[in-house]
Amino acid sequence: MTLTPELITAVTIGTHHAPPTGFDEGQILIKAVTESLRRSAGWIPKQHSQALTPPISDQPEPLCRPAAARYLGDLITFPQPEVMNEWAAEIIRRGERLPNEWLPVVLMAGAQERQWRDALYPLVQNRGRWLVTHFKRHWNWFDPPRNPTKTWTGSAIADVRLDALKNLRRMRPDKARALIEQTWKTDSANFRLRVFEQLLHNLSLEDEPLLERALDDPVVDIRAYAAELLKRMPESRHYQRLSARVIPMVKCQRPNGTWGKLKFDFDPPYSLDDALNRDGILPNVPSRYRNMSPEKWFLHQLFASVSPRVWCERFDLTLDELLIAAENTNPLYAIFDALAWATYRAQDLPLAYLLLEHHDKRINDRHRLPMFSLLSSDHQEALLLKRLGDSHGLDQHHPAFYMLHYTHHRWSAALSQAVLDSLKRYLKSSTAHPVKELIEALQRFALLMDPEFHQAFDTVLEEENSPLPAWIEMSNHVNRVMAFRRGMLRAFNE
Amino acid sequence: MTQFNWTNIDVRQFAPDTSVAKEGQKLAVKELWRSIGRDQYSLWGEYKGSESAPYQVKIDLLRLMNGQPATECTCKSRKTPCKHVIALLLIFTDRPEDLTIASPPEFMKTWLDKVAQRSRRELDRKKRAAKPIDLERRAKTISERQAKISAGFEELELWLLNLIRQGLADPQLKQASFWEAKAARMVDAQAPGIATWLRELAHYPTQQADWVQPLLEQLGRMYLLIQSFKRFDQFSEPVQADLRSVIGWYYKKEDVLDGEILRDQWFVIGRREQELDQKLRSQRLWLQGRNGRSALILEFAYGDVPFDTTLNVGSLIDAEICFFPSAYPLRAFIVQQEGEPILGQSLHGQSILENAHRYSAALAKNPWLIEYSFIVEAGIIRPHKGNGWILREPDGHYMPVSSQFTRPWSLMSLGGGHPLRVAGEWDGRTFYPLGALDFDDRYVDFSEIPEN
Repeated sequence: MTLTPELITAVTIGTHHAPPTGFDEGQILIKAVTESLRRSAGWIPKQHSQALTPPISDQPEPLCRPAAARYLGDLITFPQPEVMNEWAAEIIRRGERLPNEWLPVVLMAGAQERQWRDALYPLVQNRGRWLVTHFKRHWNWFDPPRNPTKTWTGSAIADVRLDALKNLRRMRPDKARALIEQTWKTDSANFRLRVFEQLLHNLSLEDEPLLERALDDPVVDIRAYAAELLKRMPESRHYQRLSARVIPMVKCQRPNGTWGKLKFDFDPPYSLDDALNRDGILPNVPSRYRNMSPEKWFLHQLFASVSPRVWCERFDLTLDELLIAAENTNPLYAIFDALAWATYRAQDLPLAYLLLEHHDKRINDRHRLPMFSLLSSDHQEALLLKRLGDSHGLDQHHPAFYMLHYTHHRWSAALSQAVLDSLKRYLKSSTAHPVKELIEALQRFALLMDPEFHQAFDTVLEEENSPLPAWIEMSNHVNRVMAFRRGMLRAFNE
Repeated sequence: MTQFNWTNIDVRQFAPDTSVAKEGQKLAVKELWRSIGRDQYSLWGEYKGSESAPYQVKIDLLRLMNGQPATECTCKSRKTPCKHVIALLLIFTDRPEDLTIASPPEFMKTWLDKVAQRSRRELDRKKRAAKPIDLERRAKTISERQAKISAGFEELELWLLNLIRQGLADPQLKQASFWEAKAARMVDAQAPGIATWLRELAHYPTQQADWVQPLLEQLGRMYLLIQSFKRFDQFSEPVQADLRSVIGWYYKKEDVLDGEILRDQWFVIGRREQELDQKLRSQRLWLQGRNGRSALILEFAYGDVPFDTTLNVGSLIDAEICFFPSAYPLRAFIVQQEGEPILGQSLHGQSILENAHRYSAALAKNPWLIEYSFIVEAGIIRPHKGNGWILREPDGHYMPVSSQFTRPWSLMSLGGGHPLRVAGEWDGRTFYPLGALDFDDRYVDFSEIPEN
């Protein structure tokens, strides 16, 4: 007893227009329900003949607590997206993995938000790759495209091309460089500059020919960036050329008995020739060094072009002696800042720590902060605790203020307390409305501070007779973020 | 202090939706409140909102722990509990030291008195209900309702026949107002189940590609119900109960306490919430007894009123369950629960074919049955024909997965291509997964995971 096409047609256009033979409306309805019940009651499964996808095994790491996994649902919409990074890092730090059923949420989150990708990448696991490889290719934001050349030459979206290049550069630097060269002449200047930033990963002498050619690029920023990258490779011809010019210009005078001081002397030509100019030594003083004369700027650039360890070897100096010599040399500011720049280029951690510990006021933020970010979290904390120990309250002018921005680890209880104490001192000494810069910084600090201090801003304000509304608002925000983080981190132990 | 052991997460889950939970978290800061306090059994606070008078927030912790209505706020939010109640509870769970210990203020005392009076009235009502039932009055009530439904069904029958006469291609079938008018009439006829059913049918012509036959089958089903109701008095009580269930003429719990009661260990296999219309929502909570019996705890809620979520999916409870009358009793309620729920118990399933046979047997007894619980012993989810999904067994047998199931990738990721024990709802055509057991005997509740 089935519903014939004739009956279906009759029901569609109306039995009034096309009366079926042998059935009235009631009988049609009964026939339909009988058909429906017969099908439901008699349903049996069909057979699927396609082969099954090869299964994948679990990784050995233990699962994180269910309560911690459930936070992922909240994190996707939490107003501070940075907390996602802390959550992901905590799972990795504990040597755990996310339960498998949450992996599609991780994959979706990474596909939607670029800023989470680096943090979420270690959570993808083999099973996430299996899911993407066999079924859901467009969730693949973590592996280089199968055909990066096609993406590189075929896509019109800059971010997509750069992602393809970035992934390829990490795995096959030579192929990535070949792609850059392939479209170098047709890509826009802005894009080429962004492309060059990708060369920082796995930078090697094999990149030298490309970078040397870029020294003749018509765009000044590209020339400068190429020179900057070449200076980071002491074996490069560029570095050698500059060293050959700079080293003979620098002398180091040792004290003779009780006379004289350990210091550097310079004998630069004070004239910029074409060769130096091609190697990235620029004639115009940038605005950030507006108090520097062209001669000092010239000296600054030359001194920054050579690794500081060269002076230690050449003049048999310890690091402390190197700094004493710099301290006794004129122009003092230009020398220290150039030394910091060279230290950062050489990624010289011990010297970076010494410079920041004793001479950070002599260094421009542009070099001080990247140099600070080179340090281990323990060294960063040690420096910050020293800075915050002074009698000044923490405001946007405090020497530790921007360094705190450059930390990327969860602060220890000691550092969190020191920041709060310093802030308390500032509030005591100031009745001014907090500037936007300070408010924004404190909101960022809420993401770094030990979350067990989540009520601490209240105690800071409690000592104020009548705190300004802006402070109260900021305090509420900080409390909310820290309370959320505290709950989240505690969920890992629940 | 009373042993109130809720955590921050419990409080946020108590919120009617995530936006209230988030807003509550924002307000969970002592400084934003005019006053907050607590004693051994209650919390209170005054919050300065947009009104001239501060909102008074009151919470009875003892009642809250017993799953009874236990909160009140004077704000105008339609959501219960509102963000202020959630905020006060969050302060209590996260920073109890922020709440001043004191004797309750006047507004709190007045409210507690009112709550106590209400409890007494409830108790009296229960006592009255326990008194001998006035059979004559009950028969009169039943007969009056039956008459109203019959009158409504007479109209509905003519309407259905006329629909077939005019043809389902009639453009007015695509207008929600066409169905809504008849649904409203069914509400007047005290047949709310039919009203909800008609509102569901309104979506058929607009949301399905081949909709004529499915709609015709549903209309046929409705017609069969009308014909059956004409012979209502000739049926046995269980069959009458099944007809009443479809009509929405539900039994009250106290009316059925002398019915079938079964004590067993029940595994909570999953919950599914559905929006029946703009105001009404339902929650189906499925239990599986060690004896093999299934039970369905069905609840309805209006507006944003939260459902009872005290039973955790994946837990095993020792409980006495009372079944509502039916030719195939399935709908039930918990009379008494013994001890604490146990987590991590294993669950046993059957093949898809065996599940289908069970469904056929159930359907033979109650042809009005729609949703039924399936526990498939070894199922692998995989994409099928475009956007569809199937759950297949290693031997190749498969069943289609409901298009309303929005976490297929989570189920696929959980199994990783290996067969899993999957529990869910079967509606005669498609399967809706509710939970699954992984290889470490960890039961996963899919309703906890965001859609993917």
